[in-house]
Amino acid sequence: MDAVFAAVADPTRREILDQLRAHDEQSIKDLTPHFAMTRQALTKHLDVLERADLVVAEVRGRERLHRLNPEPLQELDAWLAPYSAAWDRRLSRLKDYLEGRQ
Amino acid sequence: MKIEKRLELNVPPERVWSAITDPGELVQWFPDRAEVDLRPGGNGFFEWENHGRDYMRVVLVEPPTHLVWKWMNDNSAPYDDAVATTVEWTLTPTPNGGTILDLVETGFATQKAHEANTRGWNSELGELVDYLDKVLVLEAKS
Repeated sequence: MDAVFAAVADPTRREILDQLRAHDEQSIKDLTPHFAMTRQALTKHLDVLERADLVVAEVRGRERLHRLNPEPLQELDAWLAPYSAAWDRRLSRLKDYLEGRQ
Repeated sequence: MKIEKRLELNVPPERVWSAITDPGELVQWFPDRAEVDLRPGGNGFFEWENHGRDYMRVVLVEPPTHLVWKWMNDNSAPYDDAVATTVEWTLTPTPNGGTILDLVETGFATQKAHEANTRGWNSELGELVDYLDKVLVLEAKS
């Protein structure tokens, strides 16, 4: 969860995810022209995204092709679940309160 | 990132309105203690014996159909909107004299981003929030 959030907390890495969402399976060479930084710097960002499992790389021939894996973002929804369950409990009590005393 | 709930009640909106705004009634179903200054900008709090105090601020008051409050999630900065979620209540009368209650809580991305920022992660708060809201909407659709 922390790794996922730390990964998307950086604007460059969000831009990489957006690029991969627009066009799947891009190599470093494909991605570099979209960013005002060196290929080395971009590789470091991709490493962070791969460690967070937000980007998956596949070696094909001489190229390493990257694609977006949105699955870990679901964890952010899971983070919300207890808050949601709390409202279920409260609203159930509100209903009991309002309908029980008629 | 938001929470949406709908509840059908067999009492009219006026009755529900009072239950969600009057501190004496709020404590019957929500916190153990409550204070609410029921006007836009009015401050208040909810208090639980085992949780402590959460501060809130009233944003919109349109009896008996529409209520919005900010719920502050950082006790160290009681009325800091930057760490608040927004709770919006909409009460719609039904033909048989009941009420449809719609509750929407938003702003969780802001809260999460604030947590990240406090830990020193380099993030532009607003942009991160927009991004999270965008991707999570996309995820929900796919």
